[in-house]
Amino acid sequence: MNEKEMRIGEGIDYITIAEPKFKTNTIEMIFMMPAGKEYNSSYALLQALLTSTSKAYPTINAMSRKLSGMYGASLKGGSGKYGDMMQITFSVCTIANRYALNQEDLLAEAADLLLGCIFAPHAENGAFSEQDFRIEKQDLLDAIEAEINDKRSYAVTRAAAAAFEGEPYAYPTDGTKEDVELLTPASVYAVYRKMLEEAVIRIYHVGPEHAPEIGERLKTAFAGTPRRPVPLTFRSPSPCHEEVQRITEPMPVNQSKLVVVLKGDAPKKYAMNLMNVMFGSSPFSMLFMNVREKLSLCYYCSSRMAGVKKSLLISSGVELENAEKTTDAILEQLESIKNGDFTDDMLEDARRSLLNGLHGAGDTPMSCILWSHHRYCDEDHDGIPEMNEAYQKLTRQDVIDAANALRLDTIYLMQQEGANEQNN
Amino acid sequence: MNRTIETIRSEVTGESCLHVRHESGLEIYIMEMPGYQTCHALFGTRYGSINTRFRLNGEADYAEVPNGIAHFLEHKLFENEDCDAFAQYAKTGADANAYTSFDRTCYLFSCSDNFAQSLEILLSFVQAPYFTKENVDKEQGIIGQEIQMYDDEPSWKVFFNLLRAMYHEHPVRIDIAGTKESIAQIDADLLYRCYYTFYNLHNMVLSVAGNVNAQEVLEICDRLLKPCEDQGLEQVFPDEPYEVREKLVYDTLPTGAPIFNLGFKLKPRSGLEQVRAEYLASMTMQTLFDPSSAFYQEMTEKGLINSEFSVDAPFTGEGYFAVTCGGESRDPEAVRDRIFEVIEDAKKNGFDREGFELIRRVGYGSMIRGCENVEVNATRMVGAFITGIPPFSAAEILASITYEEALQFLRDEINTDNASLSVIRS
Repeated sequence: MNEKEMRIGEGIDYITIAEPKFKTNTIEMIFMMPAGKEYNSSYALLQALLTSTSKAYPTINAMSRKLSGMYGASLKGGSGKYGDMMQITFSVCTIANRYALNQEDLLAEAADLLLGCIFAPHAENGAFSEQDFRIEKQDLLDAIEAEINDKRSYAVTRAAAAAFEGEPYAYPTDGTKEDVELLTPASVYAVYRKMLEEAVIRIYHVGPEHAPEIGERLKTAFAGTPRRPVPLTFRSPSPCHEEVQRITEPMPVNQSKLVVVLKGDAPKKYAMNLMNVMFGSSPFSMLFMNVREKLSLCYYCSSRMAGVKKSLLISSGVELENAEKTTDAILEQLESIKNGDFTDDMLEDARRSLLNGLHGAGDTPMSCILWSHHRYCDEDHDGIPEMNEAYQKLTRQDVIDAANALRLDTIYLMQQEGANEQNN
Repeated sequence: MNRTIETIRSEVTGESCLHVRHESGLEIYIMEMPGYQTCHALFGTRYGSINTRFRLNGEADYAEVPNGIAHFLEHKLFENEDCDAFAQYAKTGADANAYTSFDRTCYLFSCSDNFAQSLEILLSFVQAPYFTKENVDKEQGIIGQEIQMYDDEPSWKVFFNLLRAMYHEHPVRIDIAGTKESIAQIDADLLYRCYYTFYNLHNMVLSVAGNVNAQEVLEICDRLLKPCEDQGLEQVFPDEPYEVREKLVYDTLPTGAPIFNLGFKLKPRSGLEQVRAEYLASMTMQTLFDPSSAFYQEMTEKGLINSEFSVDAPFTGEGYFAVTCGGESRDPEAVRDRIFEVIEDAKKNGFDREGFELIRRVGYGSMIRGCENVEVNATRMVGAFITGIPPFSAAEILASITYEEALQFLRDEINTDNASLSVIRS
């Protein structure tokens, strides 16, 4: 990836990435702030407020017609966790200028639109528009209520809340309904100003060519904002509970959901990634091949890393009567790795899968941003070549050591109510 | 059968792809994308959950097979006699998967290394079925859990409830995976029968895009494709009345705000006429109801819809055609009533002509955006095979549609008296 980096202001960097194969221009601004009860709901609401309207386009309708006129440009906001930090993102994507039917400068228009959203929101006297606030607040309350719709991810959220209790990471990304009810157009505006002044900001552009001119626009836009970026903690390993937590929540569902949380840090960097692919994140993993294919206990049983928390989460959907058997089967597979009971072929399969993913980096604009941002957040600022080399060097013993570092922390079960009646 | 090769070019983006009719009977689409690291390949058949009644070469009777068998077959095809396909892909590093929808089953992989070996695996395992009593029995438990997982997903359930409300007879009303009862009737013999009926290369497509070399793809195809006779596949679909079966259906599941799907049942057509009808339906509905419409602004301000509301891509295939929209609302019936009013008003007084032109622009932009994505290109070429409309035709169709034609379509085809509303509440 051909990157150029430019300093915009204190704690603000602009990275422009040129990939001639792309037919679009994307600009993404990432604001990094500490997470926590007092802020998450405000972040969630303000990213929605700033991307649904602006002073120049003061209704959802006006904004949407502007975007449609730009050949269906997308304008999106988001807020999500990165360990104990929150990342609040704003992005715009439009087709490249050479495809505009009337020679419009779509990249400049997109940049202006995004900067208008960030610096000239639909607000006055230190408060967001009442009507916008009412609409987006209801939207956020609905989104929080709808978390239950996706039972699989809901179960993972509930398990994480218990496993990481007391850490900012445990707090829901959107906060709670009670948090949202306390917000006002002025309080969210105050958090917005705080974010502009205190966030560490990374701004990425990806397009067919470098766009240094966007950097100049950004400098001008940020010039009037006093900056005092807060220091961030990128790594926040989670301590393991002394006793395994077992949580069961009944719910009127057809299938029980099981989530197992393991914690521990591998002595060798990236060894846990490799262990995870072999253990549970691929369709040739030990969880897939044994818990699903051999034992027929479930349709899905897979693991994923919460990397910055140094944790591993395994989730599966099972028949209630098989929940315990499945838990045992999952832990048995882990035990096998701890004991070195796996073939060199399995290890090499996992390594190939990791490398395959790495070598495909940069084929979509989002992947360019993701990898560039990952490099910034990584403690050693490892890029793709460094990771490639490190993956190649990992040994069998590194993987065994990684598995042995893991301790069982939490077992969560969403228990199907009245299982027998519903299944007949 | 002789091989034919044509190059299809996009006037708009300058992109091109090869369309090959291979002597084995298989249609092959290849798009070389310079500068890309990854490849995406799909091997698909025109066989989905709706293909339940069929016969070959004028057999006397039509066979009728259990619901969910296409999806069951997809699961089982991954298992070969000596090892499973995932284990083989593990040797190349490719990321493999498969899916079954209403009208197709596709086996796919993405990779950045070892493309040729992965393509060999794909072509080999899909052409080598191996079904036994033991491996079929084993799958019942896995798919049973998959069915139960979907039973808990309100967005899935609300949509299938809508289909059951709209359709009386057409198999589109049946869950893609079937039910625990229907899959219990599946055995190895039935799977072989369906396999040899629908996995005939004359009924199939291979689509590859990205960091690929067309010559290399064709060499692998020449080596591994097993020529087969066209078996004169015939299918029947039950007669489906024009009218919807039920106008309103409710269900319960743990959910946040009530979720709803509203569907207008339309008359299905075929070929290019159908594709044009889909564009007309989609552009009209988007003009009337997407976020740039007066309806969206009004309903949002009244708190009747939230940002989850959207107009979906037309729902269409052999013998079915509907336009649907949906989202979350505390009062889905009120949303439906307002949608009906907006449609009736537009029929009488016309609709937002400027908005219609904006939707045309959005369509143009979306077509360009998709072209930079390896996976989108490969998937679009499978779509070209299924619909019979060549790749890159979208720009031309989009440009040729007029406001007047859209208004006429709205007046003639979209009938507020032939719509169903499906709602799920806690």
